[in-house]
Amino acid sequence: MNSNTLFIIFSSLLVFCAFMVIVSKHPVFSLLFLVGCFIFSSFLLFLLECEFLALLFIVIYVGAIAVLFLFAIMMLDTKSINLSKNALKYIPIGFVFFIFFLIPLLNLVSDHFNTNFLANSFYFNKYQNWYDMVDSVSDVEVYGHVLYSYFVLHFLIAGFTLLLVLIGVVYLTNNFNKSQILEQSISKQLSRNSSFFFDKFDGK
Amino acid sequence: MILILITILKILSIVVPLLIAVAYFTIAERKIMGSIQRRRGPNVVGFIGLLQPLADGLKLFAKETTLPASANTGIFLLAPSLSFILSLIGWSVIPFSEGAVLCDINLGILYLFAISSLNVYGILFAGWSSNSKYAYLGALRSAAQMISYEISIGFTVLSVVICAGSFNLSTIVLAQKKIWFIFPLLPIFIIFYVSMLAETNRHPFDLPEAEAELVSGYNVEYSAMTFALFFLGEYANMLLMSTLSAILFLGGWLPPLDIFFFNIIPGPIWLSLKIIIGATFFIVTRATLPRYRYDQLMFLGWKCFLPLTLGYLLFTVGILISFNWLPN
Repeated sequence: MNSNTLFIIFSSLLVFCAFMVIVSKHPVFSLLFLVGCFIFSSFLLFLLECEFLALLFIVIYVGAIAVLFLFAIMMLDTKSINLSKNALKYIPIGFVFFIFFLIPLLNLVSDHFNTNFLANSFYFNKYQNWYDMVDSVSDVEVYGHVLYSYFVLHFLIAGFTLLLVLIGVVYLTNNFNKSQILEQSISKQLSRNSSFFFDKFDGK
Repeated sequence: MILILITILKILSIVVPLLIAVAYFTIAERKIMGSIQRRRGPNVVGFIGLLQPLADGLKLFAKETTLPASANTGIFLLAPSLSFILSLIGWSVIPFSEGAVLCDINLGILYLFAISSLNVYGILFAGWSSNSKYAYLGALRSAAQMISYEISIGFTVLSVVICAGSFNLSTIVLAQKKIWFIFPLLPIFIIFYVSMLAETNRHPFDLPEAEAELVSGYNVEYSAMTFALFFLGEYANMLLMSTLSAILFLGGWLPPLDIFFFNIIPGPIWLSLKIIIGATFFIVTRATLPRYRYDQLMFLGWKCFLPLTLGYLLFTVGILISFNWLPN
């Protein structure tokens, strides 16, 4: 079982899951297949030896984002909504998007990947890269080097954008009307003693 | 072929002792809680009740698995097996002694983190597919709690990783040869222990279970083996978390002092002793502390632990950089 076979298995499972996301009637099942998509694509990243990226994929997409989706969808009253989809209606616009994404993808593949499939197969290229075995840099270190030497500005800008979004969300959802908020001050409750009552109800 | 057989043997040599450990963890819990509450605990089956977990297991195995009529059968059966499998595969990166590890990957910590973030799904699916209000509310509570405390656990682990200079669990243990990380990082260790309780849904943060309100939380509708899988998964997770705390803070398989008398005791025994500390902590908190309210739990997670761990991470990095103590 070499990595080419595994690649074919995982990518066909990935395509199947992506198809089932669209086809399945119930949104929770769609989401289940979406999670499957994320997991299989992280398997593909494992096969490409990008372990850090693959694990981050699982932690962030599967562990955080999909769970939030699942929360929202499980809360919805899906039984009363008519869920039958008229897929034919969306074919023209879908085709436009398909072309839109296909052209850059094909460009990318022809530019950056080895199209000679024999060169990647098990029987060719069977040499040991001794340099890598003696002095290897793990991919985490590579990301660190690249991010902090060439993309410092981009990194900072991304961080500030996220901070801005965070503040915006807090501002939108926070209720600034203090009178409507019920607050509990634990230290205040614990420091209460009998004089609190006696001062209040003294002489009544 | 031989390679596959050897791998299967390796996996069995981890899983079978783990399941036995889980069985005896349950009886240890009942015995210790019994002695805290001044009673005997199980003492009928076998010598001083030592065969009790086997009898319990046999009972659960022999009972009938009931499937609720309105449940979604596929997901209903997927959920317990998912949570059981996820609790087992986390053990593949745990080093029991120097070199005694199933696969010594570079990003061991991150792998464990990914596994624990997948754990939420077992619970969410169980709650949703049961088609019951109690199970559903329990699952929602449990998932929200696990996600919130994962963040503080992530930051605590990150400060240890920065001190050790690696995501590899064996390297982290070997970095503690001079001093265990519990001494320089004591506040982080305490936060880790508390978050560990919330992450595994144990007392005093067992709101998903809350017998008085939710009957039993996400596993109300499960019976017999499906319930047993949840139960095994939960206890294996507790053991995994105590092992992780032993590796991150208590020096893994290393003896407390580097002297001959301690060094002749093999490493796995030291590791097990340190796991027992974590396991006992789980049991003693269960027996002594009352349950938290849900908003207090969220307050603790988001407003106390998150800023504190974030601040302590910056503090650790600052100290390490200013004294030029960064590893590598």
